[in-house]
Amino acid sequence: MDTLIGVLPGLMFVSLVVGLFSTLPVPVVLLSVTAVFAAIALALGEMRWVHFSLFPARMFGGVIDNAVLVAAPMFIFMGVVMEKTAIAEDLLGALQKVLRRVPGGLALAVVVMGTILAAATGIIGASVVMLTVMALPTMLRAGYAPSVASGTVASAGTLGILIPPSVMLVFMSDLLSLNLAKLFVAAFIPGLVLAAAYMAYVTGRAVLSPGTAPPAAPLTAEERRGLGREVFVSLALPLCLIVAVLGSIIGGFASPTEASGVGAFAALALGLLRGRLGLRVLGEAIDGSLRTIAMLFFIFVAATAFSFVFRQLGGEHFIVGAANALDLGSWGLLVTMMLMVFVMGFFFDWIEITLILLPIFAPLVALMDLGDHIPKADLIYWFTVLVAVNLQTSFLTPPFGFALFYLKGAARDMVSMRAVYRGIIPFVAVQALVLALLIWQPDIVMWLPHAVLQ
Amino acid sequence: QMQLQSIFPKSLPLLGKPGWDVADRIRLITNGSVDFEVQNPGELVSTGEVWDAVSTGAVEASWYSIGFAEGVIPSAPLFTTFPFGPDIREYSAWWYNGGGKELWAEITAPHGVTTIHCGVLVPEASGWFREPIESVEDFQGIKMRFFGLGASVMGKLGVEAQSMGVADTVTALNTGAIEAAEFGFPVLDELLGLYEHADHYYFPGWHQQTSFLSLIINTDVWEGFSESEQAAIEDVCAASMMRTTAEGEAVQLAPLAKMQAENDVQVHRWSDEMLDAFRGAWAEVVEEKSAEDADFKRAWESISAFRASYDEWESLGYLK
Amino acid sequence: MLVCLRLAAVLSRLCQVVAMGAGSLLVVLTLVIMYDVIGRNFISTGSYALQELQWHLHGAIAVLAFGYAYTRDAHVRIDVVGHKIPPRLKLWLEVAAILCLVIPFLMVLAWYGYEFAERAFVRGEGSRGGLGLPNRWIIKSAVPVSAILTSLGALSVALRMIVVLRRPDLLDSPFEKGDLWTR
Ligand code: NA
Ligand code: NA
Repeated sequence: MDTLIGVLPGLMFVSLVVGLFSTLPVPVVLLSVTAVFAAIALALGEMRWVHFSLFPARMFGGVIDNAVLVAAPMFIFMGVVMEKTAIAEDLLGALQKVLRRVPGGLALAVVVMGTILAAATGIIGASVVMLTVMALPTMLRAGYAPSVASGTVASAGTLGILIPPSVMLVFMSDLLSLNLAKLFVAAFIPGLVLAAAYMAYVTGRAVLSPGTAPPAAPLTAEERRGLGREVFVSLALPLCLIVAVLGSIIGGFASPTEASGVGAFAALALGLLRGRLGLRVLGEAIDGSLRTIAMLFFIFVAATAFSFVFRQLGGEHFIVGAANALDLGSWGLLVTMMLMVFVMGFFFDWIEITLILLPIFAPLVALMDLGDHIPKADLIYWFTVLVAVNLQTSFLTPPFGFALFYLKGAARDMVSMRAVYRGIIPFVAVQALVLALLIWQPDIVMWLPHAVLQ
Repeated sequence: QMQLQSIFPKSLPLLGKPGWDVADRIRLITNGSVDFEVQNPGELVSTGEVWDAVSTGAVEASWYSIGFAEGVIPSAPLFTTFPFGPDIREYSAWWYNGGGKELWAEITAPHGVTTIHCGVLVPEASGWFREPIESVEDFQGIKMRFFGLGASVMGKLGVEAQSMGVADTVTALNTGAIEAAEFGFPVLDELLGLYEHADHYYFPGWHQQTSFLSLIINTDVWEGFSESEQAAIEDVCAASMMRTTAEGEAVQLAPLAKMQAENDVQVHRWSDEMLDAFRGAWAEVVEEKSAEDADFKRAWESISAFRASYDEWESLGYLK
Repeated sequence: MLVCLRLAAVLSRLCQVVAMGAGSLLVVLTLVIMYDVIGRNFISTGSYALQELQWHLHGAIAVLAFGYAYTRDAHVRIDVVGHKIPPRLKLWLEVAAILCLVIPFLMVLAWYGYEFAERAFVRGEGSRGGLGLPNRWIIKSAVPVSAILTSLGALSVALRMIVVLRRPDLLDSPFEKGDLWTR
């Protein structure tokens, strides 16, 4: 009996992974596995009926009564409005023309666009969906391999979680009682380094294997004539959006959450201004947003149910037990924690990971001493940024990567999940390299906070 | 093993950490027969739903501040901390020996929650302001993040109270979207880095003088404990009241001095006129709340009567 | 089979109507935020209740369209090795998962969600300090309502899947084509 209870968390985990490959919708799989194991837990006395009253409480407290998450529907709405009114498409088109001489120019344009969007949005769903809808078809039409195209889109769209404003950093500063402004500043340069590393990879790839990332056709004389104006207009509009979102925050008009609503309003206003927003387009934008929002939040809701049953079955001890069994020095501990985050990222999303691991890590980090490598006062910020970069990978790692879900959800049949998985692997490798670089050179993280805040 | 959901993280001294300490002591003293597994905020259920979850028994216990139950029990602040409330001697005298505990038990009986006060918080600061406040006129139209009864008081003085989440508040304060915010006491505010966001730090925290932290336990669970287990829990909590008082009173000045020296934080004390204005507005709020909620009225009358008689003893017995 | 189809249509229509409301709230939420931001900065309107209204609206938008999204196949699937599973088996699998696991679980969620909202009603739960919105039971009802709508949407999908499996001549796809505003 005890051995059965001991293996249940592992079994639940494996069932989820196997279930995910059945092609049933992700939340349906999550709820099905949850239902089966809740019944088992009930039969074995690991759960009582009264525990079921925590499902609605967790759904309400975690998803509905959550002031931070208000930004999610608004940023998604803003993104879809930008897409339906072709504002984003124009920007991508212009970037693409400007970068047409560079190998892999279109992919570079997508990464630049992802970086720009990252500054405007605080969550990944919005930017991944937006890039998918705009850039993916264009890239496929231009002859990019589906794997390269989807890898670029997913990783560029995910930058938004690292480059401030970021919902994830907000969560982490809350959990570890850190100074949010300092954390935001600390994450900024690593975010840009990551974007640069993506660009380097994409360019290298285009040079080495042009078949998967073909150069763009040269512009016709007619296209060239209006180029200056086109680039100006298409850059100006999204710039207005960034100014609306970041400007309303920095200018002290709105809180970061409210800025998402300002962004959505600005997108609607710009659409009207360009004469592209009628009732029909608005209806389409609402429908598109609502489907994405429902897709995202159904997973959220199902995941809170799953993680509760997993925890009741002792899943948490299962993970921590493994870490404690080893006796490591400070460096060994750091590497082990990074590996744990990375491996958990294959299966869980960042909310579950931060909730389970960060509180466990915090006291370990407090005891850590890396000598001259990094001063003790900076250690927790450096460590948190490392975890953030690492967690950003969790959006991209198969099978349970949220960015991949958003991408696939928005791409429908344009690409197969197999191509998405194949395309993301080199980007995950790039990410691991950047993480190693940040571990090796802590100044990349701590330089800006020191320069700006003291 | 039973689940104990804390509403403060373990990483916060004075607020969260004592919850873990109390669980450890209880385990030690009962030889492991009462074994609470303490969880960081939100792990089982988010803070807003903790009272409900303990009341149904879905979560056995919580490391809690009963002011958070104000949404379902409007009189809750009177039993945990309220504007111009008493100091620790007077407050604990009312709670343990002046009928406070019994009244709260009566009010919450229908909820099936047993409350044991189990920790003490020293007075909070009145808040962080971007600009100095000289008079009540300076309050007109300023935007300040504030929760609970204090928000109503500030509202009467012309402040626009905001209900932002913590993360938004910090950024909004930094950018000037709001002009002021109320948080904790020096040791906590230094930890959260609030000196980065506003320079003027006001005392005393009239809205939150001494506050109680509590161990709340589902009543069925509580009644399932043996007499000796119940005694152990009650005594661990009584000791924790003393420990947290001592620690809280001892550690505030060093971070305050550090913020003043290194971060140009200016510490202010409200003038008597300002404090009178707050007190006047609070009296209005008390009347409104008493009219709205019978339990609030009852509790207010109980503690007011007690304080009136205590004043006599205090002026007689204590130097000052 | 025709009965199945008709029932599926009624269920999905119900989900769609609620989703129309939730979708429209996107515009309402945008305007509420703008009103709050402009009002606070330029006209000095109070915004305590408005700020609470924002997450109430967010909550309704977030959880009331799961069923609608299911009838339109908007929930993401992982099709890495899926092509190796026979299509009919996949459909039967999904029907079984919906009928035997998902709907029972959602019914449990709806029941406990109902009690959850009922407690808020009975206890007169409002916001702390009384400056925010009263009647928290309304937004708490979103939990059981969401669970029921999601079940209805899933049931509608399952019924259409059964029709696709048994009478492919009547129906070729278990999912509906129209958008939120169709019909
Ligand atoms: Na961002
Ligand atoms: Na992942």
